[in-house]
Amino acid sequence: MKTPAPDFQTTDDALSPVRTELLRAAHADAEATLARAEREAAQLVHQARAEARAVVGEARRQGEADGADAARDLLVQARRHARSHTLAARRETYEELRREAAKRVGGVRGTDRYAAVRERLERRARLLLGPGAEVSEHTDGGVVARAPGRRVDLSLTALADRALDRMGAEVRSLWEP
Amino acid sequence: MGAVTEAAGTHPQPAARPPVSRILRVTGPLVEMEYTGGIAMYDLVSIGPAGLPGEVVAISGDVVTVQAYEYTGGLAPGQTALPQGRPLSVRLGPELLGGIFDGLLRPLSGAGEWLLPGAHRGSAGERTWSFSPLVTEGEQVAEGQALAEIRDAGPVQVKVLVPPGCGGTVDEIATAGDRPLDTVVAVVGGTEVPVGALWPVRRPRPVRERVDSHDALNTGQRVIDLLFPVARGSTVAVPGGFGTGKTVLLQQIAKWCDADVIVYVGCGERGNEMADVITELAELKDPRTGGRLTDRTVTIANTSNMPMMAREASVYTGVTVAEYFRDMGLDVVVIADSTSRWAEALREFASRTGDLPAEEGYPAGLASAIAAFYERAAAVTTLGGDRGSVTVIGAVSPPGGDMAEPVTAHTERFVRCLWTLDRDLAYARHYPALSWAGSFSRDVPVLAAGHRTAGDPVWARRRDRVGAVLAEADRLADLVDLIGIAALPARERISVLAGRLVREGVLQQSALSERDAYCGPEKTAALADAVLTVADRCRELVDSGIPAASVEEIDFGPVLRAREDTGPHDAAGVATRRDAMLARLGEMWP
Amino acid sequence: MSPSDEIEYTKVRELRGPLVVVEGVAGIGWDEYVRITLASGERRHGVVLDADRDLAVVQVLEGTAGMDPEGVWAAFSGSPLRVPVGTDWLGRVCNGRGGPLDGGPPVFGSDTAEVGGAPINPVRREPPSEPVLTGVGAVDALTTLVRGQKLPVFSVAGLPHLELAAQIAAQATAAGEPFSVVFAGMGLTHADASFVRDALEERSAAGELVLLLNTADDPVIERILTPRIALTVAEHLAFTEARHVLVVMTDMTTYAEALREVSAARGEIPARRAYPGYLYSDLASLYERCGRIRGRPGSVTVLPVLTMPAGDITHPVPDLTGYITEGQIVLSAETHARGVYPPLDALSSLSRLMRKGAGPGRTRDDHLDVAAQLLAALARARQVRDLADLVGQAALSPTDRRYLDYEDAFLRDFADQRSDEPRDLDTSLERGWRALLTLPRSQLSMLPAHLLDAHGAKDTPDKEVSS
Repeated sequence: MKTPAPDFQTTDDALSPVRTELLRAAHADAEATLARAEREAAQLVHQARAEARAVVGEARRQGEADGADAARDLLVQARRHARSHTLAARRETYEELRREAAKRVGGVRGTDRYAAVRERLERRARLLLGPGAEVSEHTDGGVVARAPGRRVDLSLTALADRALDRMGAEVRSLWEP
Repeated sequence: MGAVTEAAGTHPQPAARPPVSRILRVTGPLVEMEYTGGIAMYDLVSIGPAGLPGEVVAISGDVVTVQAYEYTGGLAPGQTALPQGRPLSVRLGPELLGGIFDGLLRPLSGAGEWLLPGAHRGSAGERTWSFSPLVTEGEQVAEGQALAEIRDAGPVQVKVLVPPGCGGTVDEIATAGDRPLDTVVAVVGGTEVPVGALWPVRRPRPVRERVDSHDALNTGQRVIDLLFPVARGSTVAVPGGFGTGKTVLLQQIAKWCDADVIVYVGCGERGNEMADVITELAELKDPRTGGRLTDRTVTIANTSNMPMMAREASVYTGVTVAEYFRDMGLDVVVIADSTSRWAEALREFASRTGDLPAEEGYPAGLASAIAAFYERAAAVTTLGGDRGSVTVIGAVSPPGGDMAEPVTAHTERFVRCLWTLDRDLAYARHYPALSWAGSFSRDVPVLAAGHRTAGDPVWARRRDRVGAVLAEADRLADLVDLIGIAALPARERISVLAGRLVREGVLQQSALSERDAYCGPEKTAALADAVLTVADRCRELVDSGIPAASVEEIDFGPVLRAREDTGPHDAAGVATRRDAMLARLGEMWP
Repeated sequence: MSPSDEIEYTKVRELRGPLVVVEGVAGIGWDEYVRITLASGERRHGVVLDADRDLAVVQVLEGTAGMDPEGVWAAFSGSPLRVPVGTDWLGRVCNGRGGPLDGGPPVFGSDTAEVGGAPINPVRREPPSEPVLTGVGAVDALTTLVRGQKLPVFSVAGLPHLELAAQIAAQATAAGEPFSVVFAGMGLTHADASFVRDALEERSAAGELVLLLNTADDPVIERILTPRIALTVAEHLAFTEARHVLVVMTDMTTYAEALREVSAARGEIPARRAYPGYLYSDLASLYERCGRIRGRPGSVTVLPVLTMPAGDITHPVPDLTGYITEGQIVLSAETHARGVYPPLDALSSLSRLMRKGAGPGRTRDDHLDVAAQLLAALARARQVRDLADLVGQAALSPTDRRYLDYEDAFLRDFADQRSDEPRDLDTSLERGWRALLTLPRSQLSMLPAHLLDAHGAKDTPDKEVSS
């Protein structure tokens, strides 16, 4: 098993104030989106139920037994739509979170903290690849370092991505009560 | 006496460890490491940070190839490996009885719900054993002689022996009392002897001499004891495709055969089945001792999803445990289910090391490996002068039911008995589905001689007659399929009937039956005799002019149900039913 | 120097089949999960097959098509593949690698677990003893599935095994206890995949289903991962979340072919029919993840579905599967041709654990007797039919002719069922009784007298049974 480097946390740490704030903001946005999606989903199912009742009633009037199947199909369809509606809304909030994260991490670049962050990233790059690594500025901020046969992407976008990946389970809290 | 108390409580000196090595390569169970000196073939190695056990299988230049016994995921070149300076060994002691172990004989009872690589597997060394010396200080003892008894190991007489290659004056011997497993309880000729003995699994434990065995191992399964009996110390292979009832048959033998100790090696088999065996053995009573069956059983459970390489070791582990008890003068049976999975492990590793493959990818050494394994079975005079035996029963799982495949084909050559399980019989719900045409026992002549000496000359004749009835019925069955039963002469129709009576009244035996799951030798003999006598009487009837069809229509219930209706030793009950049947036939007499 | 998944290795020595050999690596472990980025920004994934000094041989799940050795960046994750586990999976539809196909966000979990799993300690296993009722009459009555069992469906191309698998997945229950289904499809056609989605929609909407779909045009190697992810998710749902979980895996022959492909690419020595020698152990590492554990709630029951190439039961995949599993449900082309669904070959089918999971205290007191009698009578009916083919129906005895009626009743009234019809066990057993009562009472020797009386068994039954 591998042990993380002593200052493994540093790149994460650079983001940690952003991260907390990010999640809080995302929560506020997501709540509205998800609530709307839930409402719409419920509406879909409700509607389908009414239609299904109508279908069954109609079938019964005409003395047919097949109404139940058609009604069930209707409900199944509606539930599938409702479900995909909810899921799509969740994905939307999740992607929004990613975009926002990238934006905020990118925003570090314009501040006076950036110089310190960049220096830490460069140090980290040399720690990973050795002092001989060739370090260059990434167009989106942060650095990319190269050594023969190896590279390290410490651009701000990559860092934001990785930070979000590590948040994993926390992201679920966006749509969990 | 003072010296003894000092000796008691000390531990055997650990050997000096060779220097630390480094991993070079990992691919599945194959690990290569640097040769750093002091490493010998088959030495044990503790690999990586988790200390996975492994065994040296090749040394070439400065590269040592190790076969790892556990999952090597995450293991990386550059990590350390610690050669242990001794071969793969197991600790043999009274705690084996009733225990359940993995392929390296690590107790499973103390381990967690999931078996994680390198995790501590608990230890059975916590408890103490009631030690009772049989020798006194200053006495002269030879290797293999009993130094002491363990009084609380259940129905089996467990002894502490003078280790092989050791002997001389008893310098120290502990007093009677409770001793933990790894305590030194005696010093003989300068060698410390603990309660439990460490032994390398790949080395057969020495004996004074191998002897011929004239004693049958009674399995309690009629078709075996009657037609294909096995002598104590002999070898058996049980080939059978899936669904032929192989595991059920082996479990029946494990439960009911009259050995002193059973070593059951579940080698690459089903987990639920293993759980079932374990639960059942703990519940069943041993008819001979009145104790639980589990108290005479050592279970080695290496299910099909447990690491493949430990499967390779498990059969050797099993037979080493058997030899340990044999050396106390006991009759031991090793049941290995299935040796095909063991052979597959050999193949898997050989293919990783780039060995030149022979048939179906198996290594060229397959035949000799199988032969060497079965050769560890024997009836012996132990070093201590007692009689003991190890009988090996190995299941074989031929792929696609193909009996010509290498493992089955080689195994057949090296064993003395072959119990072939037949898919058609199983499909017809004839259990045990042991094919009388496809099985053999080369022990029959010695066992017949044994029976004769013991005053039972009829045994061999009975076997021959039952065999002849079955062979004749089989021959006629083909004819019946072609021309119909009605076209046969009356006497031959009775031969067909006799075949059915033997199959249904004698050979079939239900493992689920309360009274008939086990059958004693006297009942087996009585059933065979009853059916043969009834068949003879039927033949007399048709000879006297009674139509064969009328005889065929008789309800043979009394003899056919006798096996189910009588207890395992109730030969008299069988005779009563035979007489009832003969009376019924007598009514037909013209 | 410390290895980290932040380092991407860029030097590729060789590309061959699905394998990439990466050079200059350090501290990379065997079986580690790998993330590969191509120059185009495309992401692929892989697993380390050989960690040899400073080389890592990586098997790329998505294949190596379009990979240029100049533009391959491989980042090693530091451990074998782990997936998130938890109830978030329920109601989700994902691809064979666990990526969403349902328009939702990625699946997150309360925890993660290694997809390879760890063997259950046989000592800690609880022997299976309660049924899973599938709502398929012939299966429940004759080859009862038991919680913690592994029972495969053996089929041949052209038979409705996917319908049967989907029906079982849609209908199965565990006596009202929390129940979930994990359905792993491997190499399904798009039509089959969408059939499965439709058939299981209700269960999915109810939050009781995890659907993993690797389609025929998805990467072949990915199929090796699909059942492992399914089982890892299932184990957590069972043993941590206290559910009874049924894992349906189809088609295992397709899975084995993927395994063979990787084995061939690695230049391994092939065994039977070019399948790798470790096929048995590999299949066992999947099937054996079923079971129950002492002191824990929940169970994992495994229902693998496989097609026997050319109907050959001695083909390595069905053969080795048969050695590992506890029985098999065999489908028959002949029964199918007679228009019976599900086309069970009842005489070749067997649930080895049925005796433990059915009968008094488990299902119904008469269950085992009725099942035994149904099969015994069917076996006799088969013999009679063969005989009738030989000598003509007219030459049959009256009793024998009854057996032909019985076989008909067995197939039409007892076995046949609609693929969207859940049938409870009582109904199935009563239909079984009805079929049996076409026979004279003297032929029903496996059934106790009081039951025969209760069902009105007659010495000479009426000719026709109502169905």
